[in-house]
Amino acid sequence: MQSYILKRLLGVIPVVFIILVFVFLMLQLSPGNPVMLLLPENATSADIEEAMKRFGFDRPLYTQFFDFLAGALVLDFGNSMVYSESVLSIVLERLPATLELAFSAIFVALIVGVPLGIIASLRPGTLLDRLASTAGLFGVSLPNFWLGLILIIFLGGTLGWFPTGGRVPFDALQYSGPTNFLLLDTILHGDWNGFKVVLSHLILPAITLGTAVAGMIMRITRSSMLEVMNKDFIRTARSKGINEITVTSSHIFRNALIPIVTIVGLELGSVIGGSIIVETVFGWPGMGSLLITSIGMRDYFLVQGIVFFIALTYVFLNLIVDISYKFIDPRIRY
Amino acid sequence: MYALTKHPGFWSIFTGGLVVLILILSAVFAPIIATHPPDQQVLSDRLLPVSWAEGGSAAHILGTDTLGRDIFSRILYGARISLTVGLAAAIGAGIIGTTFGLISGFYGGKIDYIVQKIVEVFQSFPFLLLAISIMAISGQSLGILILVLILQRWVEYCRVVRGETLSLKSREYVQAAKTMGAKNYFAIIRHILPNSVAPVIIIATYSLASSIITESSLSFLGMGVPPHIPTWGSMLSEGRDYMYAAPWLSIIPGICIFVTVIAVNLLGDGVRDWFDPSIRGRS
Repeated sequence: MQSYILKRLLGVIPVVFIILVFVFLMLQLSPGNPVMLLLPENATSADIEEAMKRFGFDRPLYTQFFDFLAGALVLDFGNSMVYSESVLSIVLERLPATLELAFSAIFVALIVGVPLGIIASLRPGTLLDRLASTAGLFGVSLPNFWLGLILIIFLGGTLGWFPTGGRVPFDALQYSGPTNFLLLDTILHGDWNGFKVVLSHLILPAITLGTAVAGMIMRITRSSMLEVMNKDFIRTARSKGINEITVTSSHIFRNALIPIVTIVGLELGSVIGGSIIVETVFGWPGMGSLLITSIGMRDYFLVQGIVFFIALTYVFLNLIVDISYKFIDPRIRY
Repeated sequence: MYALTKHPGFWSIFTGGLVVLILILSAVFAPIIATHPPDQQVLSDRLLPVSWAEGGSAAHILGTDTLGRDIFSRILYGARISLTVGLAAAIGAGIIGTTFGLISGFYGGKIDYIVQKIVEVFQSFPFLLLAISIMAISGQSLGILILVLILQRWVEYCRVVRGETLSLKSREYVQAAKTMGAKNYFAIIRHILPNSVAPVIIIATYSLASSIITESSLSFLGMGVPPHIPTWGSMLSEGRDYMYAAPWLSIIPGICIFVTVIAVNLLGDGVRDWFDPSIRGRS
């Protein structure tokens, strides 16, 4: 097990290197001069020349790359031109918000998708199955930015059940930390009112981000359960007189779990990518909304840092999913 | 005809296909069907609601936007972009992914190793992030948008076609063709490719649905096609500021994206059930 984790960790190194190359080339491959991305549109040629020197773009490409790499090794991506703070500190401040939203979305997807898939698979071909399958098809077909707007208009605006944006009102919590995962922090401080406020802000974005994944999980759970149900060992379990609930939960579901975990792993990319859109729709102060505003403000050093950290988060979440296979199915050998 | 309707997947293909056909015809004949030029601004007619609502006008079936442009006409022209981008990406990615999948699976060894490593790298990056980064740096253009979507989708074709090729190349008829002196490319084109068509068509439909969503997501973020071209995603984005005062600005383009994607997904489900009845009703 330890050697597998070590092997997988080592396997991450080339991927992280390729991400770094991409992040470095982001500015270099821009059409024209890279500093044009960093300067206002009315910059004079003297401004451009000065900026080339200041940012070191007048040096050979390989020198720039090695400097960038040396900085990246200590997670130094320079300073944001807009916030005049280090990119690392800005990103670290926003990272928990994005992760909290992503985990909540996966939680929503699992508590909706898995039961729906199980219900559909237990009564294949019935009205219940058709309804659950239609819900799954709707889930994978709904564009999340539209779903978010519809939820804001109806559940937030018309019915007034939920706040329509933001993560928490600025005066709602009288403390900060220790984790910056606000739900967790309110629990740690025993602040139940704060917990309710944070949760009410989280529900709509989490549903918006989790719906497509829920649809996908529902479809995979159903197909995976149906496949396992026809296996000989299930017939054997039933013929031994084991009750139906145990057969379903311990025999069918447990064996159907691997494809479900695989799809959760594959969908992490769409959750992380989707969070960029959902954060923008709900004004959620995470890395996704920061990326879009930084692009708008031409703060490209910050953009580089955000792209790197989002990609890195994705790589490590995938690593955790890979390792979790071993716990779910001990037959898997590495 | 009766037997045809009983075939697995028939009704999904029929329903999904019919909606997609109507959408394609609407997009192709947009200049004839549209009641107004898509960019015509009539400021005195701004923010008119749908024609059947109070204050609506029969001249603007789906109302007007903030600049008094006719939403119905813009929706029709928007369909052109969504379908063009989606189809171009699905076909482009299909050609590249299938070619690499065939080569990787057939020749194996180092070629296979390198291609699969490239596939792994592509899969290790959240795609929308890659797309946003490229569009932010390169600027908005229809061509680059299609290229970005091809980069996203080719991997799936490659993996599936490689798997098919690995299984097909050991079949007797392929071995027989090779024994009789057939060149590798002949065996690939004549024997392996035609037998890999079914999964490629299935991926192509899902790919089309996914590309339409990605295109509208990027347009929604202001990073899709250039701003002067009407797209469903950009129309929805423009409507965001008037969510409560004029909700139809956001709702109508969203319904169009949703219906298109659901129809294409339904078509994909149908094609999958048609070609592989063994998985009928399984997913």
